[in-house]
Amino acid sequence: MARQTGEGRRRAWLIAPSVLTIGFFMLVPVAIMAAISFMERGSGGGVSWGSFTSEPYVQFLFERDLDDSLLLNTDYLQIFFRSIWLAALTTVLTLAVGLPTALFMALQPERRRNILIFLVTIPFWTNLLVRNYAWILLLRNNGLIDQVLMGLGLRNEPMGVLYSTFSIAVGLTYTFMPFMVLPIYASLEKMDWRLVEAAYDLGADRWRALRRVVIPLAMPGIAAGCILVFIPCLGAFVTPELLGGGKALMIGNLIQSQFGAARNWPFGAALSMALLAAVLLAMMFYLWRYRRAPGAA
Amino acid sequence: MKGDAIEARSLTKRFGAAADAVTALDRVSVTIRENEFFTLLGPSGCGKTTLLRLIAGFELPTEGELYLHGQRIESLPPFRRPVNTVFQSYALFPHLNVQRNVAFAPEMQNRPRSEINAEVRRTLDLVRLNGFEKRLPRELSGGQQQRVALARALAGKPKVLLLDEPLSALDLKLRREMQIELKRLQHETGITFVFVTHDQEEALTMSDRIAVMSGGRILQIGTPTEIYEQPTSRFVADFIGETNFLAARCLESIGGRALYRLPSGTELEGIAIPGLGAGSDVTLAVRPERVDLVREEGQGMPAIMRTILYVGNDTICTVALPDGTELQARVQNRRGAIGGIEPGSPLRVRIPPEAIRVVGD
Repeated sequence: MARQTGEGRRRAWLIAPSVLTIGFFMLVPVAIMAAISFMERGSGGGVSWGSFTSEPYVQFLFERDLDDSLLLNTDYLQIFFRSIWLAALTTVLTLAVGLPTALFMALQPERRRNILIFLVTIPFWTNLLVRNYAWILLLRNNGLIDQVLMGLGLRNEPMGVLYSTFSIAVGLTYTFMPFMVLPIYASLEKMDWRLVEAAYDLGADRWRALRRVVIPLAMPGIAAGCILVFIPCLGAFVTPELLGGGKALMIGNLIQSQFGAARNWPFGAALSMALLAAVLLAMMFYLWRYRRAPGAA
Repeated sequence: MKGDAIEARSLTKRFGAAADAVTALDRVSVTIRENEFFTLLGPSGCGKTTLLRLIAGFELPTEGELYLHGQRIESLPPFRRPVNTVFQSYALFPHLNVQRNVAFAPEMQNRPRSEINAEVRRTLDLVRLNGFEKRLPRELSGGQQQRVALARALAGKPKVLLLDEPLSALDLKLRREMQIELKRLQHETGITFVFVTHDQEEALTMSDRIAVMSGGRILQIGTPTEIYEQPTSRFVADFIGETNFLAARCLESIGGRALYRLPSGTELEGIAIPGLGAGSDVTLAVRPERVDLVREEGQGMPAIMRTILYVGNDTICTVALPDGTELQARVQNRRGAIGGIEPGSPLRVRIPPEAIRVVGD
């Protein structure tokens, strides 16, 4: 009995640092944000501490007419859904490019694999802003891509693709590609390729072996990659800011502007809570689909 | 009328670049008959698995031709060959249950669903695993996984079933059971089995014919009795069972009988082999169980008992000939068989002429 208590105490001490760190740096900020989202806006910006209102959440869906009646305002909802749509599109695009890339990497000899992993992680060495500015130089009117296309005579005029949803999707896909490639590669790398040989032996051609054996076995990696791309993508604000040119806002930009220029902290906090709810829903879907019933096809 | 299931003509497989290529298979020619239990036997690295992988289509031959029921197949991909493999590691799909694993091959053949289900039931019946359809491979014991692997390979209705050391991961008792099981399956399905093993006992008990391989070549092909009783080379005699080798010189060879002289001066009568002239040096192979130990003077060769090893049903004795050559004799433990002979005491060794084989190096 006494020994068990001692054991329990030692365990408590051992996990104390992580509990404190997570508590202090994660739970406390989220709690503060949740609290602020139910407060009134301070007169000179900031928050009127101690007040309570659900106005920020109302503001997300409605605007108040002059006579104080509520009118449905879908502006913010549109931004919200655009964010989800762009994040989903980015996830699909990174998956479409990332899966073949990871497969190619996993099939290389060991030495070359390590070089390829290194190459995939190289973009992390450069600041995100710099990389997005680089895309501006590539995509803008008479930028590098236009010059090449016009030089080859494939087009007569600039494409004018910068500052559009398209350029945001390109930028996000580029930015989040390593987050898709690496987890899929990790799951393919430890795969037993004799299973693919068995699939061939049993009459599966390359495509069917990929679909019936390789992809199902790489599913944990694919799911992890999708989560790692979709969630940060939903809150991205640097890429839509720079490549969207303020014309195509995402939820991240909206939140940033509430804490910045608009000085409406409660509304920004309410938007953040809505984003958090969306992310939690995505996570719960992932857990439900891939953790509770692993391998169930 | 039985045809040939597999015919290999001068198959060669080299791995690596031309300069430092390793020859895994060296101009191997072999014919495997339809409905035969054919075993490739040899130590690791002898090329038996390479030959199996060439038949399955996982490797392409460097040279040579391969026929399956008369059709040339050496350059076909594995999924176009009516050949299925039972892998040493089983290679069951871990994400699919037993039912889906066994249904894999018929599904790939795009057979109708009802036919697939019937096939799965039939093959699971065959390996006595009905009731396990919904289990995942990791929920099965090693022996059960082995049976699923067999059922999965048989469900594709292959013309030839390849088995790559399928029993090596099982414990002795289970291995014995599966040996009988495999023979039964081969009998019931009428499929040609090509079985790879390094276990000579397994090969002898299960096979219709055995090909003994070494260094990428086939040294001898024959029935288990032929391989055991009439080994043509020193390697085959040594690899399969215990063998005594005696250096000797052929003195004369008349009418199927030959006279050999050992270095000790003793003369031995044995079976002659064609083309062996008087005066040539040969190696004689004698199985320990064919060596008789006797006490009566005037019979056989003089020898001294060296060691006596009791192994239950038999006693293994080492005796020394006058020139120091040691010879093993395996004596059945019938009452009084070697009673009274102590290590160091003299005795006589008799080898019947039909027990003496001349083997090449």
